[in-house]
Amino acid sequence: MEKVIEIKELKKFYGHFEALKGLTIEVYKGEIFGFLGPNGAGKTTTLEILEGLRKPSSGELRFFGEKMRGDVTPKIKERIGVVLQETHFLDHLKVQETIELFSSFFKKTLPVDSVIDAVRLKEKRKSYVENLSGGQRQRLAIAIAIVNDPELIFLDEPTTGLDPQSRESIWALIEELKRSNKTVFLTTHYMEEAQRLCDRVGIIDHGRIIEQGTPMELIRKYGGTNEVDFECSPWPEEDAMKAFGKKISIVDDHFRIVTENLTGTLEELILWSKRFGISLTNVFLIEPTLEDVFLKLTGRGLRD
Amino acid sequence: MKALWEFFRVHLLSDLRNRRSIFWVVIFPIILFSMLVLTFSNLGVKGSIDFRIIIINEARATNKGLDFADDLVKAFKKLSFPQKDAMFTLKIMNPNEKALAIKEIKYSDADALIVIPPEFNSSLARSLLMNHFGFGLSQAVVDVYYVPNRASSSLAQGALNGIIGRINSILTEKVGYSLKAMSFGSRTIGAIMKSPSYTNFVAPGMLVIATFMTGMFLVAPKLSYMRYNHILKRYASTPVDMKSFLFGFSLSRLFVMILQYVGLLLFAILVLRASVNIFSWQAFVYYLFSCTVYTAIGFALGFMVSSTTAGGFLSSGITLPLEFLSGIYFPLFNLPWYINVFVYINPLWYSTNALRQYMGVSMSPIPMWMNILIPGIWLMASVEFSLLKSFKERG
Repeated sequence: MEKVIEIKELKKFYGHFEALKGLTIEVYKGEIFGFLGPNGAGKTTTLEILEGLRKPSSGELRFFGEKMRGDVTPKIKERIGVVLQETHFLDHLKVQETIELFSSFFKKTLPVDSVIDAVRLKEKRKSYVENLSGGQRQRLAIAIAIVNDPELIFLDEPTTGLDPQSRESIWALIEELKRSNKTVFLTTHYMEEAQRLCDRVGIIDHGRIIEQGTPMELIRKYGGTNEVDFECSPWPEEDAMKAFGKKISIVDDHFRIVTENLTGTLEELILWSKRFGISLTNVFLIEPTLEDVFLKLTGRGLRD
Repeated sequence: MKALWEFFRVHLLSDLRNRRSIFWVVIFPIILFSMLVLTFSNLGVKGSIDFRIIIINEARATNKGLDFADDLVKAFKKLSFPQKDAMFTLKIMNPNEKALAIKEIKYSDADALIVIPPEFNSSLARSLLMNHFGFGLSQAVVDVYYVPNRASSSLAQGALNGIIGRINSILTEKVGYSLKAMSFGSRTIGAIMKSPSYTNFVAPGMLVIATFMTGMFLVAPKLSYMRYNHILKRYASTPVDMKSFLFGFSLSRLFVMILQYVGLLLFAILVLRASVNIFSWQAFVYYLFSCTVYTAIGFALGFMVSSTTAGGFLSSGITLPLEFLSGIYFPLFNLPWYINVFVYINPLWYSTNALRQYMGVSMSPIPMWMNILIPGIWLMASVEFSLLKSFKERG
């Protein structure tokens, strides 16, 4: 597979503080790579180095196979699109003017109209940016990131602070980018987002990549067991509880079974309920998520 | 080049559409200018006009020891302050100070200069003698230097004409026949300075205020906004050369400042009837220099603070004291030394001095090179600070 980004032993010092301690990542063409980590892990520093906003202290950085010496070159920046965290624009400018401004920075650009259409801001073309909603601003941020028809796009927490509907529309845009064979480097605080969108994720903590792989691989490896929660009536007698023969526990006013074999456990549960004349209600299957993986690996939540 | 033009265009558009910016950089200077002129233009005007006259006596006494010139000087003294009903303030200067006296007229420090020429005594004696024998052709001439297009100077010349006429009348009464022994030789001087009205006094300062306000309110808060909200980072993540941003943004500020220059001068001349020299290329070049200085100071302030609110607060906090210690609204003199320190480091004071001189309002109280040097130091320090901060932020 063609490597779009190759980072080897990347280090960054701020005075004596070592923010990145030899980071190594590879991102392949056409994939959405999720870059996850708790606050202060080195996520922003890595991203700013990749976006050409900071210089690394040491290590190797390649884009599209080309080795960077110091700064990310303008030639590479021509092939990159960026959506920064908390996007703001110049006030008193219209949507179209803002896109035209960014379009003037690149040699090769898409027509402004087609970019506006792509992010579904046609009706807002003449609107001032300060009058846009959060979701519309984020779509504008994506518009200026794709105005140069980039091969690689950095999305830094593109859905933070958005309502579910806006988030869904941004996800749809990101999926469209993937369909058009763009490579996306995504950071997010939402594990649901990473799990849904990312082909692979890398988890950074204390300036190092501590694990990477597909979300399913990581969940399988670190996610642990499934849980089946349910309520039932009438309340089962002691012999019924014993007959189940599995580790069943009572949590608040419902029952919980912790299992590694979800299908087998469900079959068993249905047979058990028929045998003892118990009707099952509110059955919930709780599978491990990327969040569980994250917590297990880093020992802290994303927002800590 | 395309990016530079776009930066210029969008930043200008963004400001022209911003009502708050328009108020501070266009409406506020005009309101302030009008209010100052309306409030202060009548201050210092008394019931009568006090002229400042210089007299130089080059005449030598005649062989017979007659010294009419000295009598004439004494007569002028009697008509000047501190005498009762004095018509003017008289300053007596030596013949070797004639060039200096002419310079004082040029620069509005005096209204007219009377020079009693070396041959005055003999001419007057001859005139009296000739008149006695019925030949009225000979007259002793007193030279009066004045600036024709300056009101105070022309009035002074008229007044002196009257005084000479009065002296002739007195002589006529004494000798008993019509005598016009003395006449009046008008010598005009090209004015360097215009009449010292408050409108003229404050007009160059208003230009300084306008450009300073643009630096404070259209550069500093805007730059801190762009830094705080990562707009500059967003630009830097593209292939655009940040010099394009720097020049495009600065040129858009310069454009606003030039609009202010033209607008304020037109307002001053057409509405407030100012008579400053608007066609002085030195004034315009110095104004452009000031624009660069205040844009650079705006950049430094914008890099100093990390939020838009702090940027606005800092700009407002700096603006008022600097304006009051600039000599823009009123002349600064007899200030305690600890206030003078602030005046001497205040770039507005230097800009105002220079523009006043170049626009023909008044002479700069300090050498012109200082009016360039001190703001120049501010310019260099601001650029240096901004560069250091931007490199530091780059990590």
